[in-house]
Amino acid sequence: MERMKANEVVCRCFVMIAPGLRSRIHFFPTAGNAGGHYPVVCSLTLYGKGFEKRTVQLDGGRINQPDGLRIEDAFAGMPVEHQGLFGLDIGLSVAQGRLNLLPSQVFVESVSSHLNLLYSGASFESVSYGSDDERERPEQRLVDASTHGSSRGRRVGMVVLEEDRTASLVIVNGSGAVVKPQVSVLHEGAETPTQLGTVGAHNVFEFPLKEVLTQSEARHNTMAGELSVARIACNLFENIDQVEVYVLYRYSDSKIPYAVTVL
Amino acid sequence: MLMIVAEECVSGSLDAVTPRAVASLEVFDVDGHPVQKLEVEYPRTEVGIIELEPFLTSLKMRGGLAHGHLVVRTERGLRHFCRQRMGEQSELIPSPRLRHGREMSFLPLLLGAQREHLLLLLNGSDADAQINLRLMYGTRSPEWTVDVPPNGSKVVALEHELLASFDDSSWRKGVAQGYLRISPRGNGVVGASLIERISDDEQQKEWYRWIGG
Repeated sequence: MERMKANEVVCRCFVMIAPGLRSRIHFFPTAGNAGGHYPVVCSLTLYGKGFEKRTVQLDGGRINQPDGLRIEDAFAGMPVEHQGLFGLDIGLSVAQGRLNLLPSQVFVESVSSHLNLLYSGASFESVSYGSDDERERPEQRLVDASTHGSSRGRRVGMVVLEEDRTASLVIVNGSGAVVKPQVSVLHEGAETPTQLGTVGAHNVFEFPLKEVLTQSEARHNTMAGELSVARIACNLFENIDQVEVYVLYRYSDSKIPYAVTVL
Repeated sequence: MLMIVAEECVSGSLDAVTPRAVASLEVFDVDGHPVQKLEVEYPRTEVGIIELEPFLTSLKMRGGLAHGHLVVRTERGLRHFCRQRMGEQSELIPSPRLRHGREMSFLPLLLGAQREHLLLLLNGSDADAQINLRLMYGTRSPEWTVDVPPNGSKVVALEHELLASFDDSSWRKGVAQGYLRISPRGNGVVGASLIERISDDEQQKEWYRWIGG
């Protein structure tokens, strides 16, 4: 049986890299009610199209001490031709097996002269190992993988669109396999899946939702104008422990992102 | 405006369980008194949308701002967001994470002359809460304690009410990265979010950011 250790956790998110844009991550390793200033190791793994996966390890972190750094500093020397959305795995670990790092938090920030985006990353998940993993020790806190993340193969959430805004799904594939997601708009019990294409191993891809949403989006007149609200599902089918799905909102005319939510 | 959506489980679609979903909403004022309570029911296959404005009219004005907090109770498997208009902008706001006992949370922020922050604190318990706030920027880390009544909330102007009491103004020069660490003391159950107001003198514009998670 696959087991998980909560003293090694990972959050999968994405960052934007472009000239004139500064991206920064902020992270807070915390272990619930546990006090003490235990040392924390933070590892950052960056991956994306045409960019070989690269990992840096940051020492000097402590439990309950927030920290942050610029992506350009962490991955110095990145060729300028690499631009766009990149997957970023933020791993936190402590040597003390009894500590549970799952309540830890991450924020991702991108700032330029036109853009001011800050979003909260998805919840941290335990790093999983097979039961014969030699690193597993009996005294370590174990979580049954069959109960954790049992609904992660299918994500259901909402997309809220105002006038002159667009939305897209950002699928962050931190696994070593290709993912073929499907998206559906759920409306009055009906569901028409649309194949989104493929997301390569260790890659991140943005799928515009415009065509999918226009099929059956529900419009609502609110006190602040008209909104389109859709309930959507994203089927991942496989590699569910290492894939994260976000909704990225942009202004239609300028394409500037203004919000990110976890699906 | 509140929006509620049903998730699904691998073990079976929630849609098949019952055709309608129910959510219980309760609005508390700053002092923790319930001012509205209602139950909404909507088709589970749709997104439930509730205009909150009519239910907020009896909130008290405190510090120039009428405020309180909303408690949403749903069955497991329902998620919700609030859509909040701030100036010309609107934001999708998830519920703040509630911290119990000695659990801590943090919020990143940028300090500077062009920025102001409103810290929103809520106490989700029936007991008085003391909330310890430590702001870390540069080599400094001033600390304050704020009391919030049972089921109450408090809006604190970070620069004007907290930083003004600290003997340092270096943060006004340029922009300084800061982190606010929030920890309840005693038996409180607390949540926190920030509203950041950024002024752009050149463009004579200002915009807002909601910081929470």
